[in-house]
Amino acid sequence: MGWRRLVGAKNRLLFIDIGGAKLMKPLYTVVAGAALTLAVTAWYAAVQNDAEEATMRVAFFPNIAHAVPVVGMETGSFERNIGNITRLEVRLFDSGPQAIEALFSGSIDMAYVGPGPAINGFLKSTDRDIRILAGAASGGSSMVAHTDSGIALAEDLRGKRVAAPQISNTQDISLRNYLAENGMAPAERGGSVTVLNIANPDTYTLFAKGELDAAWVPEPWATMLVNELDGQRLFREEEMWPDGRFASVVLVARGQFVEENPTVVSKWLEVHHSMIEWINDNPRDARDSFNRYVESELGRPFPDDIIDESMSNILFTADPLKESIETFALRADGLGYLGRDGYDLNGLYMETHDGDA
Amino acid sequence: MIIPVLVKKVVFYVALIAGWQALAMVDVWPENIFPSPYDVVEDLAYMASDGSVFHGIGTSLARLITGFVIAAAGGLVLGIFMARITIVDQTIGSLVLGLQSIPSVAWVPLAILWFGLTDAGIVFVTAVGAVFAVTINVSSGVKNINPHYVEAARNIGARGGKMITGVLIPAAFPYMISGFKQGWAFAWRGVIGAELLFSYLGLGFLLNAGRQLNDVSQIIGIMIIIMGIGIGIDGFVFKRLEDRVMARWGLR
Repeated sequence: MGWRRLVGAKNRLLFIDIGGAKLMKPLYTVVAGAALTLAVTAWYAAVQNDAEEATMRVAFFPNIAHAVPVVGMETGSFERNIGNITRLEVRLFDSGPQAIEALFSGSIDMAYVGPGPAINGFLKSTDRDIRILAGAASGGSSMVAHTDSGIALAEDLRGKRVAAPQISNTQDISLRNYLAENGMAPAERGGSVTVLNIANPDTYTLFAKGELDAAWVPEPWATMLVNELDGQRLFREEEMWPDGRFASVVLVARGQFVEENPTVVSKWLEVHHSMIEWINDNPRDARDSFNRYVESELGRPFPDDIIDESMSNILFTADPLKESIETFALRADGLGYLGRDGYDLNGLYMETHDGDA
Repeated sequence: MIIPVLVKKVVFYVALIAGWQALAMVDVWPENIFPSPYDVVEDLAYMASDGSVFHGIGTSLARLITGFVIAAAGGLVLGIFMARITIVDQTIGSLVLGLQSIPSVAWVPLAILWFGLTDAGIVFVTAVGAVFAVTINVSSGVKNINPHYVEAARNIGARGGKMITGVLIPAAFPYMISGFKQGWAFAWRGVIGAELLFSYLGLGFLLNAGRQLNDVSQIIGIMIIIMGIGIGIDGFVFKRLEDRVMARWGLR
């Protein structure tokens, strides 16, 4: 009790008296505050540690091109093979740039994203700490025009409002590159085409209200615009690529996570490969699993025929189609998305012994 | 020795920028999170070379001016009614005070549903963010007019429109200028906030683009432009206008 007597005299001076009611001695308040802060910090650090040690956090979108993680989670394949090593946690996103932000901030470890955000994330990350581990899908986006828009050719896009997902996402790069190749510029650079970067569900709503003339969107949204809203599919993006193949979804991870958790990562890749095979062999079952997952997460499944038709536009493959990724990088750079100092994709792919990724 | 204000300012800003550059160079934070002033200037030059920054400024200013003109006209009419007709003051007046407390960006969801992703939606947010500040200032300006002026005007036969344009507006003009100045500041915040959420052209869109491209120097560059335009218009247009009016009305 010695310390109490010691501070007792000083405490007298520190009494606060408001309206006759003596408040807690400020010194005790400070001590209590410090203790509380310490406790909270310790708890937070413990939680953080715990999360880093025992949990693997994976992000993907509830889009059909992301069938590999969606179906893999729904059927429990990932859980069965990895669940005994680490806890799996899923974060659903609507677009790649969001997922990349989350990778940057360390709140997720792995993500299924398009090549656009993968490249951008790799180049902008500290020490280029983002790696492509494998491909997941090829193709699966289309340019759909509104029936009333009168758009049939690229030329007709002048003066029109065209939607794509977030800036620097894969469809956004493709759309803006398409405009540039056809001699048009977006309105923010003084051009005639207004590019609206909006989330896919919003694109659907605006398309239904007739406030959009066209949209460059991934499946199943492209097929939904066509089947449900009477849109005209002008072309499938894969028609514009050599062999009709281009990377549309790849698996990326934080380099540090890959180095620290080689077993988890290789297990995940094993399941990833077997899922691709299974989806290609059992498209109907895959569709059912996909829809069950979407229903449980978002409350409402997509119509079966929409998913079937969407899947027919997508090729599920673990090949990251590196050439198409280089083309995306070239296009993104042309749009000013990759910074001002040029770019170098060296180290973008995880080094493997079997030359898998 | 008295150091001129200008010298103090220059020294302060030079020190600020030098400190910033030094902080960026010691690498406490990674470059992609904390760019140097040089990176920011480089980014601005790049955005100027492809024209996007000028189109952004032009679009934002056009929306700002449209929204502000609507707010000024609406606030003027509403303010005069509130000051002259007691029942309007007691009913609508209380609502205006309530609406004034809503931040302009809080109107964005409504504007998106009502107007869709259009200029009209952003102009709506801008106008609605500014109109109540103008209304309140105009109303208190008219209320504070010396009643002798109004009586004198009435005695020599001024009524209705003549009374408003010939007596009320000139007499309340100093208040109105303050109202416009405040309305302008609210409108500028409204435009940028709305553009950020609409993500449909303008400086707010460029801020959003910077975020999505993980390009912090673009974000800071655009913020500096937003600040510059704010200071410029406030200092060079409204401050001077206000000073002149105050001097002419003998209030200063």
